[in-house]
Amino acid sequence: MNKIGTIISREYLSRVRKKSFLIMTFLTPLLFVLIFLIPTWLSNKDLQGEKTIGIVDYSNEFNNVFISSDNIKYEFIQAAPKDSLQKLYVEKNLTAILIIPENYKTDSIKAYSEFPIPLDLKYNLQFMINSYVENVNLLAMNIDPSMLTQAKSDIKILSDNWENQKTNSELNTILGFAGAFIIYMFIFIYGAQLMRGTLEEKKDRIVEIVISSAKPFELMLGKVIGVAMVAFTQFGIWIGTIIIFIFAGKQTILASGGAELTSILVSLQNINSFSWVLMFLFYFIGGYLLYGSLFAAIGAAVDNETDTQQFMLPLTLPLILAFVFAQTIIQDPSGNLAIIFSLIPFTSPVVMMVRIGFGVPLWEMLASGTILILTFLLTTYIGSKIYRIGILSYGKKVSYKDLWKWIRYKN
Amino acid sequence: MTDFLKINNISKQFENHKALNNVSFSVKEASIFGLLGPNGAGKTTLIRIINRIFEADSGNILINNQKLNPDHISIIGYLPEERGLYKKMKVGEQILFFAKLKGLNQKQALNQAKTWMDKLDIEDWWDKKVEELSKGMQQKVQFIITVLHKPKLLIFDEPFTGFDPINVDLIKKQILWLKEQGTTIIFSTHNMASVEEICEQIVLINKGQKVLEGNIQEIKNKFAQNLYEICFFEQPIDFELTKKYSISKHENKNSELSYRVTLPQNETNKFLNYAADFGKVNSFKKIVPSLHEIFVKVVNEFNQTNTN
Repeated sequence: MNKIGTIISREYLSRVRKKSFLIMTFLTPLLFVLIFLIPTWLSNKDLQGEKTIGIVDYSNEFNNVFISSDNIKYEFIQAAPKDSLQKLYVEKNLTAILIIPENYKTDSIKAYSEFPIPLDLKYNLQFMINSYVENVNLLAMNIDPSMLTQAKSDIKILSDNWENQKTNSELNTILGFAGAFIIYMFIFIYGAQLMRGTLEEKKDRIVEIVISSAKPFELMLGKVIGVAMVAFTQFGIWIGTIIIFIFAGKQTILASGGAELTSILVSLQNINSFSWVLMFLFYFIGGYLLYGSLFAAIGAAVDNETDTQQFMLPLTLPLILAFVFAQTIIQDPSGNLAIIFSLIPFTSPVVMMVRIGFGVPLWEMLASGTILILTFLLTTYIGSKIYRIGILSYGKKVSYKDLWKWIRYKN
Repeated sequence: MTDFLKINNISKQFENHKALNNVSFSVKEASIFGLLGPNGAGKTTLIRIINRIFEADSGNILINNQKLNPDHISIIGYLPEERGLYKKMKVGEQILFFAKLKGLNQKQALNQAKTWMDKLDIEDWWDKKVEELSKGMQQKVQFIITVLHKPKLLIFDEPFTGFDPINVDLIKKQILWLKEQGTTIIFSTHNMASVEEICEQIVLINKGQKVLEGNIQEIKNKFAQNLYEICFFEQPIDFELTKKYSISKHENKNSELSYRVTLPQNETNKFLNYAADFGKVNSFKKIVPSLHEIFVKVVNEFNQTNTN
């Protein structure tokens, strides 16, 4: 036990003291913010170039329908044969020319351009045309369009739980997604670190000295735990910072009376943050142990970084799939897809995080947890088998057949 | 002297080849023992079995008359042939890490580390990263890691690689000092000159089998074939044409006037009297094969009989 402790502390200290750890710890949240901000910034109208759409209106009905905006201009063009229109299209550098036939209800309206026009532009044009036609139809039926506007309703549903606390679907979605993303990212980052650390010991021929003092399993376990503690330290720093910000900022937010911020703060308190953190820790540890020992085994099996590729794919694929499916599952957090992927241990750590905020039945939680624990015990066993033989095998490029042989190897 | 280490009928089979086949020998306490053999003979496998990295298929190992068990790890020091250090770690921390793995506490480890760094003239390197050191310097750190926990049994696999002659002498001195302290030392190398210099007993294994064993001097005498070398001051006339002995001219590297002759037992005086008639004798000595020659001969003969 003492030896594992020595290995853990070396592993932990040597990683935490690195400059890159400090940089990553403070840069990652910044990166997160950027990931959320960049799409908003990109969709800023100023960034999109100005578009001009030419309109040939044979029906003469649409004079007041198309209203130019800052970045989309509409220009009516004299009717002309198609090839002279094409010339005009090039000359005036138009995005498209929309041709509205006289009998536009039966003959289709067409947009001509060199490349297909963007989907949102198309929907926008369709919307403007349809609104106009609807208005015309309403008038023909003797209905005042303004009455229709008055008749429209905009009622929103507030979600509440039985304890009469305000819940917040949006916040739960965001929190669930953040948890899933952190687990996904941590398994990748720290799994890769584990693999590289093992490979380093093998490549630099340190391992034979270590395992003449400690068992290969002790070395592997020490590394797995040591790296996990680095991850917890990083996560702890983040959570700590958030808590400090909330407590320090609480009075200011309440005083300033920012209604939206206050409601988020209240919801955040109402969500059982403690159980969220608990679930996060469970699924992070489970997922990390499940993947970690296999990552370590890969590091032990190969001689150099390039050889890791062939073994990495089957390991990273389920993880990536889990994250992809998480985005579908968030639409329907208690559907069949959600249940299936929360039972599969290779995807459950990511998928369950998405579902937690929306309530998961107890039996599913227990089943998912039990399967995860059993599987990581199994992968740790398999991983350690590969590890103890691989760590001393040099020179030969290892195949899946070799790994299978090592797993079955007695004693 | 009692036997400190006993290897009894050890066999080890890997997938498709027999790495060790019924190997037995014993090593006396406080002696330096040479474990020799060509590449791939099974030396490293045997050393790994002693270190409990591998398990033998059959046979057993006794240390101080006790069956090899996990507690023995703390009394063994092992310097593998393939060795390396954590490059990014500082020298001092690295030494402490390995010392603790061997069961020393912080205070003992610190104490020993200081003593040994002093002994090998590297006391100023505590805070240096390993990657900043030259290869020879790294080998010194590696040596300290091997001996720090005062092991009773030391296993050195090619300990002198990476050292310049000055440091080879420094390390040799330490190995001899450790032996004087009562440490039993197994020394595995291809450098036969150093084996002749510091080992008392050797065992030679080839293709997993023991092919030669014993005291170095006794082995050498056994392999000496009553071959003698005689040198003259002046050119003796027609010396090699004599029918009485089979004499052949031999070019030696000092370009002396030298001849080789095979003599029957107890004929040296008679031969010297005979030779004196041909000229003034400068030197006369028995040709004893070097360990290197014995190694090559034994291994080649073994390989021939085993392929035929």
